[in-house]
Amino acid sequence: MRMNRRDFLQNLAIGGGALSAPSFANARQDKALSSEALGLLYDATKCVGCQACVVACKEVNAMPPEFSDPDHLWDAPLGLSASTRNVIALYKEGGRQSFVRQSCMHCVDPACVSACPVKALTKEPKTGVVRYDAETCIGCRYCMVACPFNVPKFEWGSAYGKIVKCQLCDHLLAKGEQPGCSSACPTGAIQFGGVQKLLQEAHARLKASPDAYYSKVYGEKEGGGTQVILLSALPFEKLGLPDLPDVSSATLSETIMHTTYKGFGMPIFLFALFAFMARRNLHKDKGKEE
Amino acid sequence: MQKGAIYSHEPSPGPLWNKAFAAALLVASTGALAILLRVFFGLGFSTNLNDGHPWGLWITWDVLVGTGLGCGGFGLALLVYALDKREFSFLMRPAILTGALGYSFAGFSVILDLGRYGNVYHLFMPSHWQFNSVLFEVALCIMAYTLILWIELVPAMLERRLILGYRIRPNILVRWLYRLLFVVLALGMLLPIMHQSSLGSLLIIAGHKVHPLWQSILFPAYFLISAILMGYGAVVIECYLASSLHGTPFEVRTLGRLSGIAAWLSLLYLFVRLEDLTFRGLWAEALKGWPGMLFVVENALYVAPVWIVANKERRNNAGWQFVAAILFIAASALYRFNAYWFAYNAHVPWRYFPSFLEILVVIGLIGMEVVLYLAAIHFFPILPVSRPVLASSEK
Repeated sequence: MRMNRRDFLQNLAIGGGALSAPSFANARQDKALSSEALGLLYDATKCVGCQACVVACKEVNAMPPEFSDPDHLWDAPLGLSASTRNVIALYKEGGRQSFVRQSCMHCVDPACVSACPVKALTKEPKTGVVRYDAETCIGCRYCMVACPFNVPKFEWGSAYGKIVKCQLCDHLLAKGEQPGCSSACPTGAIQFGGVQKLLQEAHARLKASPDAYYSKVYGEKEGGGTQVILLSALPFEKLGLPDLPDVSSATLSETIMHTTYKGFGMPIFLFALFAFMARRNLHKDKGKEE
Repeated sequence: MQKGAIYSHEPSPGPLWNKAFAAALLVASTGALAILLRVFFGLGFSTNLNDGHPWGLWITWDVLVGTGLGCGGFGLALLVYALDKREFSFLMRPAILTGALGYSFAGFSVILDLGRYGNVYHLFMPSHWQFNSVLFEVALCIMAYTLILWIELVPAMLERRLILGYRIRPNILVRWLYRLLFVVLALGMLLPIMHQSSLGSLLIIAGHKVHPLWQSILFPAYFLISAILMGYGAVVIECYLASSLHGTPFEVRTLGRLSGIAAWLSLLYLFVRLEDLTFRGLWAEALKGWPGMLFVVENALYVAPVWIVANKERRNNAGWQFVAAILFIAASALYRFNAYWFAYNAHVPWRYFPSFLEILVVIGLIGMEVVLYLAAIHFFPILPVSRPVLASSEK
């Protein structure tokens, strides 16, 4: 029997519920999309794979080129890395093919933000941009372990590296401009805007030409929702996007943490119990010696 | 014989400078050079860590296995101070020393692993505290427990009245330490329960990247039990060391009982682990492919020591006890390696195998621990010594 991840996680939740029902009484709610959340809509059917978005991203973020040819002539990143925050990949299968864009998805309920021990990763409450602050980061790389899309990348080549990922060009947003990738896209495959509007737009496209699309807006629900959403003609799993449950893994992780440590009740109880027993048993010792 | 023995702790006999010490020192200095290379040239230069495997050997070995082996003191404290099983108390000191060294070096290794170690002080600044982060809890809790372990060693150090020529007199601080020892001991039992279980919870957020055979909401329980088992295993092996260094008999009966307790814990672990799989309907998955094989080997390693200990003759035989101890450690270590490394797959074209320098650092850190351990047991009364009391002098 082959289980997909969603079945597995559902079983996990059911199993967990049965095995520790009381601890799920305080289950943390999934976070909701902010009404002013900003994001991107990537429509793979419109993308021609020109990589103009990659060039623009590097330009506005002052990122170094990344060579994959032996002569080091072309900036041709093969995937996301510490030098590349945004990349277009090609998926080919028989006669069909599709481009797909990889970058930070700016999750509604980001696992990286939940994982970071020192608040180096934060979610801007209004725009929902997931920001990284190198001045705060300790470089533990737990965000890389936590991210379901493997987006945060580390500067391995540096002696004192930092994490690199898309910040939705928040330095340009502050100036009232739009991100480098969407402004450079010649075909309108990358569209910047409010996430609510982008979702409406995506559904409108699905409705208008159902035959042209795989009938799903990726990111509407995946992992608790993302602010970068995708449309494609091919199933998203084929394009390398994980089939995630509708809740963020942060929900389960935080539920377990906060039920165990709620009000510090359990640790205080255990401490009191151990202290009482240790004291009693140490006193016994004294009695014997004297 | 059990009742007719007197236990004491004595510094190890013989000179500190011998072949073993020299070898450990040599290994330690090689490791120190490797560490310098990491500091000056960075993680990419010295490790094979990559964007698909951000955590590698230093985390799995130094932190997960290192602190697990250091949990002997914690496991024994539960028996001695919570359950009042006095017979095990003479094993405490070496276990606490192993714990203090294991935990301290785990912390040191984490600092080497941190990409931006200069910011590590943020963990102590309330403005940066992130209470949703499992890693935050683990980090603070491990640091607190390391401190507790060193405090628990103070009584042993004070027994030696002269340290480096200075006379140690029990002053007011020491009197207070003895008065508040129960608080220290209680923290010494509470903190490992918290962070050893949380070392498991750390992986829950990784979701689908950890293979379904390992990814479980019961991670905390498995990690807690595996820590205690590794701790008990380390205690048995240290007892071997103590009796061979002092030329005293091996405490087979007490260690037999400890092995028995470990076997029961293993059974509990196996029951929950297999029940968990049945509940999630993962049995078909369990026997499939490379992860399936790892799963079978891992659990066979838990079953084997239970089989050894189940028989009374084997249980009270020093050789079998030693083998069982090694198996308890191997099973738990493999479980932790599997969860964090072998069964971790980010579904990206990156594979990971540690680099030469990574391995060199790990071996170097072991060398440093051995140097400090040998020095500690040489200068302080740590290792237990049992002197059988003759039947005539009993009474």
